[in-house]
Amino acid sequence: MNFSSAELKKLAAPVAMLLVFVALGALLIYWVDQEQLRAKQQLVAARAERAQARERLTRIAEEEKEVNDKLAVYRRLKSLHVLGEEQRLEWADAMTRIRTSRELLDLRYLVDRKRLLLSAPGKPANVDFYASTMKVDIALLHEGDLLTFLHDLRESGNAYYSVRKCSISRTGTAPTGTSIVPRLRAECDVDLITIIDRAAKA
Amino acid sequence: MLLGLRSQVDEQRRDAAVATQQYERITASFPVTQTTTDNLKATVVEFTRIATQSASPEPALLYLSQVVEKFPQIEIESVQWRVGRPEERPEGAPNSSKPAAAPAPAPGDARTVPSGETLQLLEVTGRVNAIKRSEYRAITGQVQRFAEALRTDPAWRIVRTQLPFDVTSEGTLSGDIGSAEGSDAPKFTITVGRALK
Repeated sequence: MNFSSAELKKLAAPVAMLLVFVALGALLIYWVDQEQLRAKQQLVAARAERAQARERLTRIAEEEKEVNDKLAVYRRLKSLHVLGEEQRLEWADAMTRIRTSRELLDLRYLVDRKRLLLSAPGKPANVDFYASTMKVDIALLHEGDLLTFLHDLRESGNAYYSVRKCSISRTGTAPTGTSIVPRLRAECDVDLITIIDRAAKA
Repeated sequence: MLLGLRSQVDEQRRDAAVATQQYERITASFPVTQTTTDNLKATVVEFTRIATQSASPEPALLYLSQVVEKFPQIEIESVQWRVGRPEERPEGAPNSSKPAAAPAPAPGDARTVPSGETLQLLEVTGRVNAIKRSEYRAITGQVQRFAEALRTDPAWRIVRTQLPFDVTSEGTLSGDIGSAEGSDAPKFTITVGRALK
């Protein structure tokens, strides 16, 4: 099929338009493909961002719960002066108070030098646990005296009292009619535990 | 397709923004502490560990008192409560350098206490009164019943029993039939232990 020059002239404009539309169509397809690709990448990024934000939120909720739970214990330790420097004068006062209030016949004690029990790693500084062993020698009328003594000691605060050893034995002293004599003697070793948090604000 | 993807992107971004806002709101409402979060955790975790490794003698002494009440013939001479391992000898305990003279361990002692486990231990030393010294069967039986009674609460296990008489084949069995009954009643020692909570 041959076209005359007149016919070719007539066709030139529509063919040119056709080529332009084909080119435009190809460009449009390319653009849509690129946009789709970009949108897919954005979706992946947005999903990751969302997952990260959700995870952080979950973690912070757990952390808040943990901090709240532990804070109650921490505050209690602080209010009882378990957290802080040793209060040796307070310990002596407490022993005198217990002896007087419980009318104990004889109460002797000796508190050893404090020793480092453990150092827990923290940030920015460690938390140090100290123990001072108190050796107590008490004359008892009956076993109940020891139980009330230990109860009063714990209630007095200023340390965490961890009893390591307690022995009770008979004194062998025969009761006389005129004076009260102790029937039993108790010897106990009690660790007085205090904590120094080196990151704590005053 | 493209519009659907874009709406999904917007939705994911909205969710992320909501989570971030929530995070910031919660952080702002965090309690004010006097220390860092790390030290707060270290303090409480270690303190809790120390507290769980501690025990108090009161429940053990009350338990012993309840058991002793059922045995009027038994007179307690001394009681020692301690936290430690059964194989450790308590400070100030007599060093048994004369094994032949030592009272005999009772048959059926609970040797099942795992070595190395920290327990609260109660060592009871006493005598059996109101039974003639020569009635060693009755005395031994009484001590064994007392030891069994100390296991009424299954949490307590017998760690060691020393009977007043050495009835093992390895020991020396002696008698003094017909002598005066004036000497002290024979002594026994029972050690019971229970795991720390």
